[in-house]
Amino acid sequence: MKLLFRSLDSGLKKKDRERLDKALAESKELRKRRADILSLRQALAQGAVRSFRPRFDERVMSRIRSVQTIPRGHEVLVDSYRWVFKRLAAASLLILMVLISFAVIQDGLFPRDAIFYVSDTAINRILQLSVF
Amino acid sequence: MNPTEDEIIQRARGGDEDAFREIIRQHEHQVAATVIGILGNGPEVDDLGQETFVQFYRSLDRFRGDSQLGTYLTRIAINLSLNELKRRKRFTQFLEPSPPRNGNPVHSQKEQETATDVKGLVRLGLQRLPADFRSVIVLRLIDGYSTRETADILRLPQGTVLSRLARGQAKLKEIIDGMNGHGS
Repeated sequence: MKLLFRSLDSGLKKKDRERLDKALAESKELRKRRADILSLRQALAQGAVRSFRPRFDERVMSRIRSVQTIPRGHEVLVDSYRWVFKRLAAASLLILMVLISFAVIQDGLFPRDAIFYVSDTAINRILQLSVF
Repeated sequence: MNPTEDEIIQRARGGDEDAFREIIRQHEHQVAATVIGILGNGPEVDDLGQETFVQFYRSLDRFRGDSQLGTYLTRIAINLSLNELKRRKRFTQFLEPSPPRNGNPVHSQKEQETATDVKGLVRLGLQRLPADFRSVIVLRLIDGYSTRETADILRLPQGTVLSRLARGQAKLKEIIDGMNGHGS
């Protein structure tokens, strides 16, 4: 099979061609597979849709006119700004998250007691609930 | 005498809209075959085709003619199409617990029934092929690029293109047989 595909896509050396021809002459199955592959390739080539909706060129031109606010050739500059901005934004977010985590750990910004501490009054009230 | 491709590009660079329109007309079919071959004939392909030419327009000043214009446009078209496939895959993975392979649309029974002719089945089968195989098959067997050109466009070694072509065709045959109900 390998030789068969190679014969269709890249050509074969004389020796390989002879091997393939011999195998094809001997095997009905291989001949059938070659015929199947050839008809598949034909269907692919002939069945492809090769056009967009009518007036495609007009739609492209109107889109070009709408994006022409940036002078042609300046896109490289704009793209590089975008590239730098994305990376700066990602780095800033990372630094911000590190700072917040540090603040939480140090009990500075969100003191642990403020999050986990339950006052005696609250415990007493809970115990007085009818459930208990 | 008809102007050469270089002349048309020069005129387009100078802002001549008719020249750019001529480029679109000359290469629309090739770009359409690539985009529709990879993505199927859905509503977004027209948009991707437009984007291909818009990106080329933006890079007109950078286009030096190292490769043929058709090849250059095909490269843009295939990159946009493969990105769209990735986007679809992410989207379907996010929305569905068991996404279809490669984020391709699931073709309904009805759709399969209407694609009874061989060409229709082949088109439908192509959409079920993994993206790696699909791209080489579209470039080599639909667009008609040589193995070397296909390798060049996809920036792959020729050996990889050849092996993907062979495996892709075998897989496609399997898929079509399955759709036909003869699993061979």
